Amino acid sequence: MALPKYVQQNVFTPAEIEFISEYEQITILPLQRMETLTLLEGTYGPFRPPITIKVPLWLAVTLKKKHKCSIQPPKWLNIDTLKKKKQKEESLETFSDLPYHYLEISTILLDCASDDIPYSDEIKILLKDIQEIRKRKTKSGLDLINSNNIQLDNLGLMEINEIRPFFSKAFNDMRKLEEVLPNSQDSQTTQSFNTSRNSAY
Amino acid sequence: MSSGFSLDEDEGNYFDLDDILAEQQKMQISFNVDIPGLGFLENNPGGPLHKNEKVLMPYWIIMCLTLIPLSDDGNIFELNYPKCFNKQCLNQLIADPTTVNLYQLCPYYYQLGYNLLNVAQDSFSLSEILYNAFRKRIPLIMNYSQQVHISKEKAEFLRGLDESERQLYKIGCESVLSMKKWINREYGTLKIAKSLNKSRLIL
Repeated sequence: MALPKYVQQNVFTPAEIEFISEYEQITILPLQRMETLTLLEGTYGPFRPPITIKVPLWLAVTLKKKHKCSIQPPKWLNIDTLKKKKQKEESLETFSDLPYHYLEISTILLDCASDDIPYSDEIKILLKDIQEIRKRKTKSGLDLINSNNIQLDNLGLMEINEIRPFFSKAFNDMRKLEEVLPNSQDSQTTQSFNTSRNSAY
Repeated sequence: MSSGFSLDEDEGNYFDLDDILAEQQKMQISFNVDIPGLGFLENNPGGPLHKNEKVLMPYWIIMCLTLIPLSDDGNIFELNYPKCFNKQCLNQLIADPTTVNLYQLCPYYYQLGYNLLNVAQDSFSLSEILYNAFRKRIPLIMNYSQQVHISKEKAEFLRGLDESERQLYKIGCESVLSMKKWINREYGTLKIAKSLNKSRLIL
């Protein structure tokens, strides 16, 4: 009970999700000649300027902040793809197949490397729209839920994490009420319990 | 309270304060026999509690009473449905679950209904009504937990939430808030505590 709220509810904080997503690989273009970087977590390099190289996102961000590289945005993070995704998202009932960490990666990149992404302002707005549409879909999905399953294909980690505490509690409460429904298993066991108690005397 | 720690499904969560409070909710029962020594319950201290006299008992006592058998094939008591589960309230719940003020009826409405069904017969298909009502109310709770501004309907609805729904609403609000914090990049930045700032001004 003395634990922080988010530990009690078995969820990550958004900052923790961001930390996890920083291990995604991303392509960078070094701006300086650098020898191999030997770090606790791994070895990266050597960096030779015209040759692109794949590094984890956190390293890319650090190098970018020191103006030692420019980041090549992932394939899906450009204005045309996102426009198509938005259209798909609007026309279809299902979620479009954006990467699992799309929200985190795009936020990080737009935060520190917006000069490397063409039309970054439009992309920001597009992403916001997509996020809103997806949110509306999860909400409308709530109308049809039963306590057995829920279909959430292609939902990103951050989005899942946002609805996780609410959904899991709602499901647990609902399952509890379902236990006493006449045709569920549990009520049968309690009934047999009652009859056995009565018949014993 | 978190609901991850349950010792026994039927007994509820032993350490859950809400479960304990829900078990304190009283129901009306009448005994089928005279009970010696319990006369104080009907303002007759020292005497026996008479047969068929209606008394209010918390659920946790009733639960134990179901285990006491009577010789001629019946329970030691008759249970009356609590007021909040009478025909009128249930009809309201069937008609429009989202406008009923559950908190006013009983702060632990669903839990009480669940408990009741564990000791009594389900005479008005109560379980189904409760289940459907909960299902219909969830989307609205989710919706309202993501809205910032307060409208009249929202305030009205929130006042009518029962205790478990209130927790749901709170959880929803919290996760929305933490997302907002993250999007505005308020995580991971160190700030001076307000109290420290003040003391610096005094010095």
